[in-house]
Amino acid sequence: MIVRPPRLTRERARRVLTLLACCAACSVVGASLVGGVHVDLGRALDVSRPDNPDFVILFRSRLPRVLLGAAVGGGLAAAGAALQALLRNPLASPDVIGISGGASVGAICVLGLGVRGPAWIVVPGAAFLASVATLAVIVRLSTVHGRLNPYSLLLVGVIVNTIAAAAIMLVTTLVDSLRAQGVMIWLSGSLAQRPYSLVAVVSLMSIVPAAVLWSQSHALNLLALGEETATQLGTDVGRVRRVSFLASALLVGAAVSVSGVIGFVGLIVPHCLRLALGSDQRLLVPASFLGGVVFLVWADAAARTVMAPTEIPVGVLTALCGGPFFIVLLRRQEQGRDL
Amino acid sequence: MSAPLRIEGVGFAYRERQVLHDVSLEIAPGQRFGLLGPTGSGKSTLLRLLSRVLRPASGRIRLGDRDLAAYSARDLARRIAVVPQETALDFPFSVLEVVLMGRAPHLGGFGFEGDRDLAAASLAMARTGVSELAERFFHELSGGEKQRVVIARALAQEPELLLLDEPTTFLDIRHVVEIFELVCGLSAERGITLVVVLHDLNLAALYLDRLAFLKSGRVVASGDAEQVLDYRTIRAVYETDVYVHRNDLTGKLNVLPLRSVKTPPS
Repeated sequence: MIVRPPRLTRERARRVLTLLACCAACSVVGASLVGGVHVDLGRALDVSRPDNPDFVILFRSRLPRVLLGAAVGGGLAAAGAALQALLRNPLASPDVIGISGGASVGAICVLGLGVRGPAWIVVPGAAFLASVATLAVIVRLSTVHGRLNPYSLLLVGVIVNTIAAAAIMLVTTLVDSLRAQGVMIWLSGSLAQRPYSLVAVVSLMSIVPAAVLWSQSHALNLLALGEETATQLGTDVGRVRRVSFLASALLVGAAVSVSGVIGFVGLIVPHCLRLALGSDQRLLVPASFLGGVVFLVWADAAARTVMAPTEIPVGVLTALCGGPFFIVLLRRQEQGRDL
Repeated sequence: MSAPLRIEGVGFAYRERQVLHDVSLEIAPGQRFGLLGPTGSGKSTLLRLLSRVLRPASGRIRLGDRDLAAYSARDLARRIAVVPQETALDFPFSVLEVVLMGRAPHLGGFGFEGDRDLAAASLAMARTGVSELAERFFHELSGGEKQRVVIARALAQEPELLLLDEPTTFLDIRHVVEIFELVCGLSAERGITLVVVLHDLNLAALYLDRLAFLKSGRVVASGDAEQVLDYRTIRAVYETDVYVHRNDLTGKLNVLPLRSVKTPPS
């Protein structure tokens, strides 16, 4: 049996979130100092010698990458926490149920076909629209007799992912090889080399929807009692679902558009935090955001360093760790044990 | 303050299938009202109309002097609480957390529960005898314990009307009696109106004051339990012959099915 965390109060939420925010801030700073090349913080911050190598590596290469990882990780984990409550399934996560796959098809059509327009709006926009459409299809297909069936959901996710993979293969074979290689690198989930303007846009697309999800978090708690009971407790279930699905799709679209499919962040982070903090979404949603920041920032630092100077795409790393984790969870659920 | 519940000429259909036809009933404050009838007679649908999960296609339902449709969702949730047949939670919540969810219609949108909410939840748990379970996980409890927790959750809403949909279907006889004693006691103490959908005619006779029989979406009979529980009515509703007699110990009516009797004994 798991030790039950104490009941959520405003003070406890504040304490836990402050602690996690400190961890997240330290992770951003710490991970910026980690990499294939040693960076001297003193020299990098030395204003008398601007544009010294340490400065360039830290502020032009590492920091934007770490900040992007923070935005993506936080967004995916918050979306995972909300989707698990919305879909009433502890195994739901943007990549497992196929939203990330759908979003990546949207992004790839734009990237591969070379649609004109400012990249910072076209790609995230396409990924967002594709993730909304995919989510709508997934929910529709896994609803049986007006109820979401958890197993149908996972199966539909597998099929959607397969179709998405096929569509991506199709696009990459149709375009020239140089462009196809760029698409493949993007697809494997990388955070490398992005300008600050993009970092700013993605951060905004990550923080705002996550805050929206937080505002719905008490209603998400009530959904665990079933839609009918949630309604009878005064919740506008239709509205909560629409708002939360849209916010989640926005988070996934933003994440996928810059970093491809980084899998299992939305599964692992909310799950571990639920074990530690309890199921109350009023704490779980913001804690997952901050936990996702910590998780992905360090995962990316590991991806940069473990095989240096070769970089592994961070998505490969999270999938290699996350896949087995998912299987363990699935086995436990089938055995009717606590999740 | 309790208000009467009036169902006036209500009809309802799921797509093409008409489930309720012109149902009219009046339920007085503090009454213990039973909705009876065969499976598919529309009694659960009627209960869902009363909790406004469904809206009537025709006719109207009034709580006090206002139409049910005129209440805001939160307002309604402060006046009406529902106890379903069974509750399965998808995530591990503690008993206290589940009971506190009953405070939802009393909280601000983003709110955390305050002292007032905690007091209401503690009172509800004490009354339903689940205080010692407060720290346990809901999904680890037995069926009877779960149902008492769900009733505590409903009580924490501080409703004037409690709707129960076959609340004891999955319980053994000891827990059935325990649950009915509990809700009837609450009704007597606090003047909470009960509307109970149930199958067991003997339980209805034992615990409820007024009954309505539904068949194919129409009210066939309604009134005092003593008058409605008549073998002719029951035969008309269920197409089954029964023997109705008075129980010496309870002073209430008992209904027993009869085997293959084509005509009732005169």
